[in-house]
Amino acid sequence: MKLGSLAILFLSFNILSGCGRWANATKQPTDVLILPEQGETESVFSLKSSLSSIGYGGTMVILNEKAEVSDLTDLLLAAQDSRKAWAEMKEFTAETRYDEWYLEGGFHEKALLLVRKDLQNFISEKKKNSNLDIEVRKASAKSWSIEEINNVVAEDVEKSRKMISLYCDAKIWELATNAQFSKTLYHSRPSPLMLCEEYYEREGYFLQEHYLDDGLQDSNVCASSEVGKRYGRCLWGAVIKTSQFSRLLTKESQEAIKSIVSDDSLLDGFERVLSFDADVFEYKKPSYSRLLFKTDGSVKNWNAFSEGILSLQFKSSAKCMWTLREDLEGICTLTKVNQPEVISFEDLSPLEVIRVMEGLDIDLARKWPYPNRPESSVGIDDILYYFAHRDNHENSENDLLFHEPVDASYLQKPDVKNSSMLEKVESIEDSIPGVYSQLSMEDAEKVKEQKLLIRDIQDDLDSTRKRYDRYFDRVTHTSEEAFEIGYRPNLAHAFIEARFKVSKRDGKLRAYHWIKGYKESVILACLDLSTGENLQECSINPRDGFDESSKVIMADNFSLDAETGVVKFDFDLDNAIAAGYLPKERSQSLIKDSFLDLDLSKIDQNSHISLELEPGIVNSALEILSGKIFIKKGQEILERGVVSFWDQNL
Amino acid sequence: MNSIVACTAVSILFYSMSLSAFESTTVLPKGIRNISIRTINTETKEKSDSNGGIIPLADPLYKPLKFKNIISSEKSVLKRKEIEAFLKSEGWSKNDSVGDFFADLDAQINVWAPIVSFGVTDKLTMGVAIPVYSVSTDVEVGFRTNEMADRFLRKLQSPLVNRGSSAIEAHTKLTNAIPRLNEKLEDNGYRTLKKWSAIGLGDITFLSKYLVLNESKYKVATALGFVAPTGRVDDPDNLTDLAFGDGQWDLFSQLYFDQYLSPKLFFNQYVKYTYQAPSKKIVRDKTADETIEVEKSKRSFKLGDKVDAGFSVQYEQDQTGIKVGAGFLYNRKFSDRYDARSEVRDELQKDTEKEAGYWKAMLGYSSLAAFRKGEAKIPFMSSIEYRRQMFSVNSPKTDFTQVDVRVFF
Repeated sequence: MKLGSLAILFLSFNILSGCGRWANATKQPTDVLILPEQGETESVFSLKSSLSSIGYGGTMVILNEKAEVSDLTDLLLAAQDSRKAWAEMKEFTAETRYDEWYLEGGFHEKALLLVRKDLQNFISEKKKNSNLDIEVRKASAKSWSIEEINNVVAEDVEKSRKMISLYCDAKIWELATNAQFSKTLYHSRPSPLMLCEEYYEREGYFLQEHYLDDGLQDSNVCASSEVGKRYGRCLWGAVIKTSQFSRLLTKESQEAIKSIVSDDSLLDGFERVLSFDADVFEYKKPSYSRLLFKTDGSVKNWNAFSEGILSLQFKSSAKCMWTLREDLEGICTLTKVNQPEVISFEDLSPLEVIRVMEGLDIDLARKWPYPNRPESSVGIDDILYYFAHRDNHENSENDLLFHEPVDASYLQKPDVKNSSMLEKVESIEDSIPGVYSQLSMEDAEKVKEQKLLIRDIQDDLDSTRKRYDRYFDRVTHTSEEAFEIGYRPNLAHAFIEARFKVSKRDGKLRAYHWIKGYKESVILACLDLSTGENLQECSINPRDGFDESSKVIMADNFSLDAETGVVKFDFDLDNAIAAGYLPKERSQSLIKDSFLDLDLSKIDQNSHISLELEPGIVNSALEILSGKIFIKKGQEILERGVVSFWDQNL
Repeated sequence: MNSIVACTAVSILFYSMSLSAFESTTVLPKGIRNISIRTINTETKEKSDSNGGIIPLADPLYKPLKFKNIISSEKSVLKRKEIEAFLKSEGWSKNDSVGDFFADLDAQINVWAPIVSFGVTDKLTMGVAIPVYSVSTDVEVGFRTNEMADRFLRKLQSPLVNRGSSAIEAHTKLTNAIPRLNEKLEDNGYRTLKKWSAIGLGDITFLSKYLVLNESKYKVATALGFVAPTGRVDDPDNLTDLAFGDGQWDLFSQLYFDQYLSPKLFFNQYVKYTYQAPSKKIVRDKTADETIEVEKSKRSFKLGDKVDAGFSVQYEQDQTGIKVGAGFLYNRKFSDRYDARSEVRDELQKDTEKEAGYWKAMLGYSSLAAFRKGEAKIPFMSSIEYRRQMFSVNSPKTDFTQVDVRVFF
């Protein structure tokens, strides 16, 4: 029995030995990288006290479900390239303060102009103070034209000579109609342009015989005067001898001018008109005074009469008659011209000839090229511009050097505004030996230093602008590339250029969205910054750069997700259409433009457009706003796409 | 992926369904019956690979999470393409992994097998073994991201890409990789990875053993039998279940040889060949690339035949009834064959060739001598056997204890 019990016990153990034993696995961990936290919602858009608004621009691409992965990859890379290019350019402009220092009209250009003017003034002052005799100067200048014209293109000396002669004639017209000349007393006959004096002498201008031939009683009109006198009759007498007078004016006008020049009273009135003497104006209506003069009595438009005469297009005769004294009304019909069918250089008005020869009218100069100076850094146009150009009725360098007014206080160094011209001044002055005296060693050293400074600034300006151009070329290239990719078949339903602007003013965060070129309709949304709530009642802030006439469309929703940093901006399809989301055909030309294949009016109108955007900064320089665009019906996504905006200073 | 521990229970039991604990040419005398209760308890967490190395039982769950897995979980076609485009723009591949799943899988197997045998003649004994299984498994899955995941997330957050919200979305997905894996399993008709247990009948073995030669020094016996597919088969929708049967009929034949070194000490050798008949069953059409998002289909299959061989030295002392023994056994199973397209077939047939070798030792007691002398009222035998695996290929790493109690009447 003992063995039997043992057997039963063993059997029981045998059967029960597996009971209550269950598999038990060891708990396993989940180990995932800790994600860096997103930026604070407060700092979204980087808006702070110093920057109250950011205007983003860029593109939105609504993708086609049939898009190839390779095309999507190219589009993604193009967007990144574009952002990178813009960021690098922004970084460069911020680093160099390009807008302030290197843009046209920036500090560098202003500095350059200032230093050049200072240098020029310094040189002029030093040269002017030299004891070079005025008669020697005059003789040198007078001999210039002969030598210079002989140096012009050898095979066409006659053409060059003809152009110079027409120009010299035109300069007589110019001085004769000059307001300052008309009222100034001179010790000697002022030269319209000293460089033309050899021509005037050869053609017999300003000679006593000539005035007697024209029946003028005072044949000594051009003689010098120790006490000083006006030289109007002398100049107008020479005008009568010019080719423009006889070739272009009608007989009637020629007679009218001749009669004015021969009549003391009329000539005096005429000169008063040209110098804007208030006594000769008598207004048919009091308000007409405002046509000519400002309220403080200063002349409103110096060119009102003189330039009309000079251009031989004196079309303001009615205005002239409304404002002139009745006895002087005849002046208003002085310049009736013959109208030739084919205009040659000889048929140009004095003003046109001057503009061509002084390099101011490029179109005409192309048609009638002025004589050039081979192997020289300065052209004749440069020399004539520097010496002879009068800005409005100011004096010219010629006047400063050679005129001898009784009161010389009005004679100032002409203001050369053109930076490239200032660069040439020294060469121009060297082109007329004997007119300007040489600088002392000490002054020359100072000039050298100043020139080095100018060169350094100019080099910096040029090289920085070239670098900027390279950045800009890359930006342009990446943008063009993105458009090229966007046009690939089946990639996108739309490639839209759009804008998104946010501003933080008066306790509100405003978001404006509009299609490029449709700024008159803008979708607006506002957040109360203190509560974070969407404001339904909100209007455009004029400081955000929108016209009050702009049509405002309120967005349905505008929110900031604190956890993800995503900005959500929703608006319904009706509003989208009103804001310019309209079908637009693809460009057929080489230059690609935005397009929209979808007709939103045919999509279920209970749908809406939703932008989910994320602000960011590339290279610590460029604010960007990128993300997604959806067309949704409720929560169902009908279309989806990508958005890439960046700060464009809008 | 079919059950990752599918063969464990069957494999363990199959090698233990002989009539006695240690093989011998012994048969029952005519008219004598015998009931034996055999109990096997084992727990395993490891198995051997195709090179014989030891790997976790959960090794098939050690899967990389690839970008393509993330992409395929997106419902929007366009979003899938956008992710793919982003990867391409960074020079990454869909097959790059962002992390790895790993797991601990524990299997507890308890088997009770009543074996009934009957001496038809003094040379012929017939028997049947009816195993009952009580099995449980438990699995715990872990997940760890890798450097690629870090690069991926950081790239999304980089100023130039500026997709912080996508980084957060991806991070959430990676953090929830395990729940998402379970979701994916469910979406594809699988049971989620969790505890599992079952009790049920295994494949029933029928055996006839014939004593061919019965000399004083040499004894030879043969056996012939078959296994009926009565046990539950592997559930293709359950990754951690255990099969109680292999789903088809088996036919086997065995040859025993005993050489007596003394009247109570003998040396046994045996060899057994099992033919596994072809059949059909439902399987997952897994491939090397995809093991979850696959269809189920009914496939013809033929499990590899088996060869078992072993030797042992056994001693029984009549005076005390004590039995001791020690031996070695070897088993081998040839590759399975499936009728399927090549990439599915390769995966189903992969690592199905198995091999294992065990040392074993036995301590037992028999009352038969005492019963014959009238000193014991019940003729019975009991034994406890310990098996230790010495080597194996593609087999569970199982050292186990087997307890036998046999009563004769």
